[in-house]
Amino acid sequence: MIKRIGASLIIDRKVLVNSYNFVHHLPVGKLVHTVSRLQELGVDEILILNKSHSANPASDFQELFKEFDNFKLSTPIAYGGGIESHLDANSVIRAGADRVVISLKTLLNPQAFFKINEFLGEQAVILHLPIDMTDTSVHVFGYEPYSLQQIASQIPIDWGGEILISSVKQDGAKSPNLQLFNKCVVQLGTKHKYIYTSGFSTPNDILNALDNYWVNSVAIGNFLHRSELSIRKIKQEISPEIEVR
Amino acid sequence: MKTCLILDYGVGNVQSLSSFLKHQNYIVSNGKSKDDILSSDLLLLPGVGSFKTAADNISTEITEVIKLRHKLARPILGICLGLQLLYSESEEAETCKGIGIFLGKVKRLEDLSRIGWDKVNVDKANEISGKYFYFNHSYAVPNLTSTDISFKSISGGYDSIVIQKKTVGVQFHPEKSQEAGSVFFKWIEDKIWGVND
Amino acid sequence: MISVTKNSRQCTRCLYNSLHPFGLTFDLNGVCSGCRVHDEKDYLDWNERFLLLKNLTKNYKLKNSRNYDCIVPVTGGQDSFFTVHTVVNKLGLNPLLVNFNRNFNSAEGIKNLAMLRTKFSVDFRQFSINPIIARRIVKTTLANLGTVNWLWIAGQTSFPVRVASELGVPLIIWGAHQGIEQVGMYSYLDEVEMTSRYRREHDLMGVDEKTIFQFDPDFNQKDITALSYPDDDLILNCGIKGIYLNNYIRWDSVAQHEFVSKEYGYIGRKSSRTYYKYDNPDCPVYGEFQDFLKWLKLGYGKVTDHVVRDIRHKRISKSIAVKQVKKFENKLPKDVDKFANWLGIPSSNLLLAILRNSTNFANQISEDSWKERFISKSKYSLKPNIFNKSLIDQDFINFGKGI
Repeated sequence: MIKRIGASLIIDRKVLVNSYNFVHHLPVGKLVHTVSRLQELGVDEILILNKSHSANPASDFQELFKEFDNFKLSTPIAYGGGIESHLDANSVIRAGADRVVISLKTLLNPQAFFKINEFLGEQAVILHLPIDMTDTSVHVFGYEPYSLQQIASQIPIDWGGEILISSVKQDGAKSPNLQLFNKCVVQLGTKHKYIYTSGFSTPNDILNALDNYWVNSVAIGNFLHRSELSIRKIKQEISPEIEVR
Repeated sequence: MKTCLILDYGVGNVQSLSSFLKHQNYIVSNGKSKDDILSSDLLLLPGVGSFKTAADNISTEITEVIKLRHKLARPILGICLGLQLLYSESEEAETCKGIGIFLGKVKRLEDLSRIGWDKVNVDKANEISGKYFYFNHSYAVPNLTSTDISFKSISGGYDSIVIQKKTVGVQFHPEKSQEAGSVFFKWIEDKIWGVND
Repeated sequence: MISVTKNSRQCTRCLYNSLHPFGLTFDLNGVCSGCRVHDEKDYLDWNERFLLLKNLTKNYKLKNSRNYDCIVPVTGGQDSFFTVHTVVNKLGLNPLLVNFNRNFNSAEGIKNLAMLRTKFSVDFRQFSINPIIARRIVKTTLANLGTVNWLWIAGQTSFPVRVASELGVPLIIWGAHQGIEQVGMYSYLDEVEMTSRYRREHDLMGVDEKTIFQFDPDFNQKDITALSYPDDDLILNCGIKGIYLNNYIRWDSVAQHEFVSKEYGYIGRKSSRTYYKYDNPDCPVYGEFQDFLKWLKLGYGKVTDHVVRDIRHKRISKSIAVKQVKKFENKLPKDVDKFANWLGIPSSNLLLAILRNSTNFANQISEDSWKERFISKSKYSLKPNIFNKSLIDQDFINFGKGI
């Protein structure tokens, strides 16, 4: 399989936003226009993370996608936001997503995690681990008490899903912290497959990330919205080094 | 307008498929009535889900009706999990039986999962050969010689397109393969199902 | 005033609320994203940012070449003067100015456009669309999108890009990115560039020249050639890049207008619907009838945009702002007769159709009251399908002093 160049889109109160450090959000517009443009540009997949989800993720999804009726959506969509059970996950898939993104909260509920994987198939599951750093620790944002090793012990060694790693400090920045990501991966396990996101905008950074055999995909965030032909330019510039679609 | 029944077995990216098929000019419904299984212009077995959940929701009766439809050479399309269900058994759920139109056992991938885009090479089909399609699976049927298949294409060492009569199974997701997916669908309609004749 | 409903949220500083068509986000103090990004004007190092701009543009400055260094889209209003002043005098570039003829040019707008050329000694290229097609498109967008401005925005945002690709001049320099200035769509640090997605979604309200056909199946491709945006391959191969000066210069339109008026004689034009006369002196329809439509559709007009700008720059208080809005926003637009005449529709029918179809207007004022105030029942009547009537066989009539 070739490596993937994807998009990471953050939703806050039904608006697609530029995200900065997971806290500040600036409005971009409606999801349908950005998704349609990304599809035109040949994006490999689109990850949609809904920060202001309700208790009914399928209905949130349907609300976001109700303007897609006239649009021929043919790009893989992964959706996350409040998916905590296999019923949530299945209803989101039936509503139009192709994969689901779950949080650490769901991983720490082994029954729910197991059921989601069993119901959908592991390949349809992405575990999102937003990484935060203090002077004393590297941890998942909002889950300081848990070390990465503890988290790693919850993930089956032969798990076929993917882990989405993002960085609070690099969210909205113009460069990623690859050192941090690679350190986290060593603790989580290099046998798993990863999607890196946060701060990616230059071909060099993307190539350096994809150079690691455990990285299947890089998901680009804010940069998508602020540059014409973002995905196409990136693919054009990295294509001499790696195979891209 | 042609009709398509998306078989309801409790899992599957139904809305994605529904939208895709509507753009291919199908009137789409989702269900499992025996009449509809036989009478609709196209029967679609959707992907995204586990073999066990799906198989548990396909009764013996429905299996027989699907086999009858296959015998009558009426178009069937199985996508991803849908393709796997057309085989007789799967490692994913050893106690469950597949529909058994294709002989073979679905096995766990050596790499645990294949997620992303890969080329599919198809002899004598320039329209689709060499194009990238979207795969997302943890199980597949390894490339085994089989006498019951009239057409097969391999990707990554596993069956990617399997055709017998007018039953087509694909391991990738044409509905999520952007332009290549539409081209592929039209190719099947044209060359395999003879829809545009 | 944008009415606060249970589904909307008001900024605690300015008068925008979450129903703004661009979208708005709020922080924990209820301050909107537009105000928050505006705050960057007071703490970013703008000297440093201007150096960034100089470094960026110097790569496009051609020595010993007969081609232009950049394209600068201009109108007879907005930020054109300040943009050209910056490009020519501060960055030392040789621009080609390009203008998509708005058709309803005011005397002030024509004079401003002329002065751009004489004061800065630059080349200028203008495009005028087929006037019969123009009228047809305006009627279509009025009926289906509630705007008469779509055509001019479509042209203004595509013509410079076509010229850039045609002449092999990849750099396009715009003044301000409206999404940043109004709702804080990006941080200035993001250095957002021109994108066709923004054009389609926000400039053209989700309908571009390829999808306008849905409203009038009789349109054909030839009719829309004047608005065509270069395809992705062309943009990629030419390396076209559109930048915004407001990412590198502390932007204050009012101060800039004062400067260019003194320095270059830039002229404003009074509007009946706002107190500020320097934003759009070039187009009497935009500041009058179009603004009236905007108010009917969205619940706020240009005067709200102006007071929000002044609140953020601390020129007026919120209470004064509210008074200004109440004073201006429901004023009937001037020159409706002239515009209706150009469109080929009786002005009474035009107003009546719009008022009756506007739910927002119905919310602002009671049915009886508006009938009494604006329309006399015995005098006017609504003809059905007035927008479908074709007047293509009528002679083209200039409105204002348009070319």
